[in-house]
Amino acid sequence: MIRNPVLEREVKTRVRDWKSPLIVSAYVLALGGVVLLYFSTQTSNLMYGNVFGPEIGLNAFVLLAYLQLFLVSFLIPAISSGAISGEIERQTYDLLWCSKLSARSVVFGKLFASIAYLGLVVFASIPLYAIIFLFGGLEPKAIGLIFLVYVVTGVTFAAASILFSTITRKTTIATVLSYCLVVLLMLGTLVAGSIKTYRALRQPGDPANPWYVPPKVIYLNPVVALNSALPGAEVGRYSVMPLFNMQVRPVLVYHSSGSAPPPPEPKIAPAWQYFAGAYAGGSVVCLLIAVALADPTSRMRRKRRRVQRMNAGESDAGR
Amino acid sequence: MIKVADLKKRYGKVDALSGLSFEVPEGSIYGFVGPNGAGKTTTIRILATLLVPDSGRAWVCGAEVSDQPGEVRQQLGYMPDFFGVYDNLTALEYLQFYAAAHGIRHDKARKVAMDLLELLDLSAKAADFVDTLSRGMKQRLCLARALVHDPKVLLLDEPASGLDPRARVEMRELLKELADMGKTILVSSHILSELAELCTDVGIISNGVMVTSGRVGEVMQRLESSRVLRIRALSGHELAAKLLSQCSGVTSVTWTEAQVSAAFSGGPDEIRLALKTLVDADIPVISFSEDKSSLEQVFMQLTAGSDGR
Repeated sequence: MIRNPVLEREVKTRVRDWKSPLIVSAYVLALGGVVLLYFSTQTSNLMYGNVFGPEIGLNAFVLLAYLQLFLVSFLIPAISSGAISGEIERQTYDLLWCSKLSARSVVFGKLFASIAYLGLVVFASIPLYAIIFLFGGLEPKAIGLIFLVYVVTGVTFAAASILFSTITRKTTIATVLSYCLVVLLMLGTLVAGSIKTYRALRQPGDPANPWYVPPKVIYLNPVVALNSALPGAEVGRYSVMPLFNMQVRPVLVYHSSGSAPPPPEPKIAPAWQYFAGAYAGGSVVCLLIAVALADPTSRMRRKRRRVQRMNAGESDAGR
Repeated sequence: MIKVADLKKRYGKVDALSGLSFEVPEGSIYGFVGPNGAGKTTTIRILATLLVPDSGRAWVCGAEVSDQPGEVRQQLGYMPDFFGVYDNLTALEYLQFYAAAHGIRHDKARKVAMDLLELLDLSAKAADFVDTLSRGMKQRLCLARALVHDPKVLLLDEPASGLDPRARVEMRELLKELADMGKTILVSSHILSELAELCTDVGIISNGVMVTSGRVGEVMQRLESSRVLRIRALSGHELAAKLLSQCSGVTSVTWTEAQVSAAFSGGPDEIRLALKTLVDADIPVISFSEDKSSLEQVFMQLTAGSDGR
C-alpha cells in the first residue's frame, strides 16, 4: 500500500483535535434534529385524520439528502482552506519542502485528508439513513447516487479550497474565496439559469426547434445534480426548481395545433452526470495548478532556467 | 562540502546577496556571522533549496542547489531560525512523520526516531505533545528532525536564539558531538563568543558580501591591526611610551599610570625588539602581553558601518 505521510499526519492530528468530536456531534444533531422535527410534524397531523403514509420515509430521506448537501458544501471550505496556507502560517512549510515529499504528495495528502474527514462526518450520519430505511421505499442505488453527488461536491470544493490556499497563502482569504465559490455555484448558477430560462421562454416558439433545453450552467449546481439523483427524479417527483422558475428538463415551447403530434422530447442525460463530469474536470484543473504552485521554488527555478537558456542563446548568437 | 560562487539575490530594490562566495570544508563547523540583514538567512535558504538565487551557483556535496534540489535535500538537514510544530502530535510521532517524509520505512522510522530522541536527550518526552515542550526542547527536537535522514551537512540558522544560557551550552555541546560524528555544520548566530569556542572555520558576511572567511585563527591573524601590546612597569610609563612609539610595527601609543597600550601591526620579531628596547632602557617591566581580539571584536571591526537591512 502506498503511504502518504501528509495524509497520515493530517488524519491523526485532526481526529485528536478537541473540535473534532464537537463538529461531528453538531453535524449529526443538526441532521437528526431536522428529521425529528419532520417526523413530529407528521405525527401531529395524525390527529387531523391524516395517515402516516409510506411516502413519509421517502420525504424524510429527500429532506436529509438536501440538508446533508448543504452541510457538506459549507463544511469542506472550513477544513480545506488552510491546507497550504496553514503550513505557511504555522511555519512548518519550509520543513516539508526540505524532505523528499513532492508537491503532488503534499497536495493530494491534504485533499485526501479533507475527504477522509468529510467521510467521517458523513459516516456518522448513516444511522439516520438507517432509520429512514426502515420505512421502506428506498433503493440502495438511490443512496449510492446521492453519496456520489456528495463525494463529487466535496472533492471539487476541497480541490478549489486547496488551490485558493496555495495561491493566496493566507487561510482567511482562501476561506472567503472558497465560500464565495460555494455560494456562486449553489446560488449564482440558479440565478443565471433562471434569467436565461426566463428570457428564452418569453421568445416566440420556433417550429423548427420546439423543445427548449435548459441552459448548461444549471448543471453546475450541486442542488440540481442531487435533485436529478433522487428517487423518482426522472418523472420530476422532487423539484425545488419552481422556486426559481427553473426548468431542468426539456420543455415543449412550441406546438402547432395541427393534427401532427409534437416531436419527441430530446434525450438528455440526468443532470448529475453532467455535474459529475464538469466537477471532475474542475477538480483535476485545480489540483494540477495547486501542485504546480505549491513547491516554493518551482516557479523561481523555471524562471532561472529560462533566463539561463536566453543568456546561452544570446552568447551563441554573439559568436 | 559546501561551495558558494558569486550568489546574487535581490528582493525588490534591495540586494540581499551581492556576489557572495565561500567554501565550507568537509567535517568543519563553519560559523556564519553577520549583522541583521547581512544575508545569512537568504544564503542558508538558498543552500536548503528553498530559494533560487538570481544568479550564481551553490553546491552541497557536489550537487547544485538549483538544478538538483532532490539530491541536495537528501544530503542536508536544515533547521530554520523560526519554525512551528504540529499540534496534537507527540515528539516521537513528529520525528516519525519527518522520517516518513524522507522515505524511511515505517518500521525503521520508529527506531530512528527513538535513537534521535535519545541522542538529543529527549527520550523522556517521547510521548509528550510537541506543542507542550519548552523552547529549548523544541529546538533540540527540530535538530533531531534535521538529523532524521542522517544527512552529511547541517544548516543551522540561529539555533541558539531564544534559548536560556543553560540550553545554549547544551546546544553547543550537541553541535560538537555532531561534528565528532563527522557532520559538516554551517551555523549562523549572533552569539559570537559561542561561535568562537565552537567553530573551526568562520565567515563574516556584511551587506550581502563575504568580508572574510577561513579558519578561525587565520581570520583573526588577518586582522593584525587590531592587536594591542599592553605593558606594565613599576615606573617609567611615559618613557616606555616614548620608546615604543619609535619601534617598528607600533602605530600608536597611549599611556596611563597603570599601563602603556600600543597598537601594533608587526610580527614576532618586532615584538621581541620592542621588549628589548624597554629592557635596554632599564624600564622595570613586570608585564608585557599581547591582546588578541575576540571574534566579537573582529566582527565589530569588520562590519563597522554596516547598518543591516
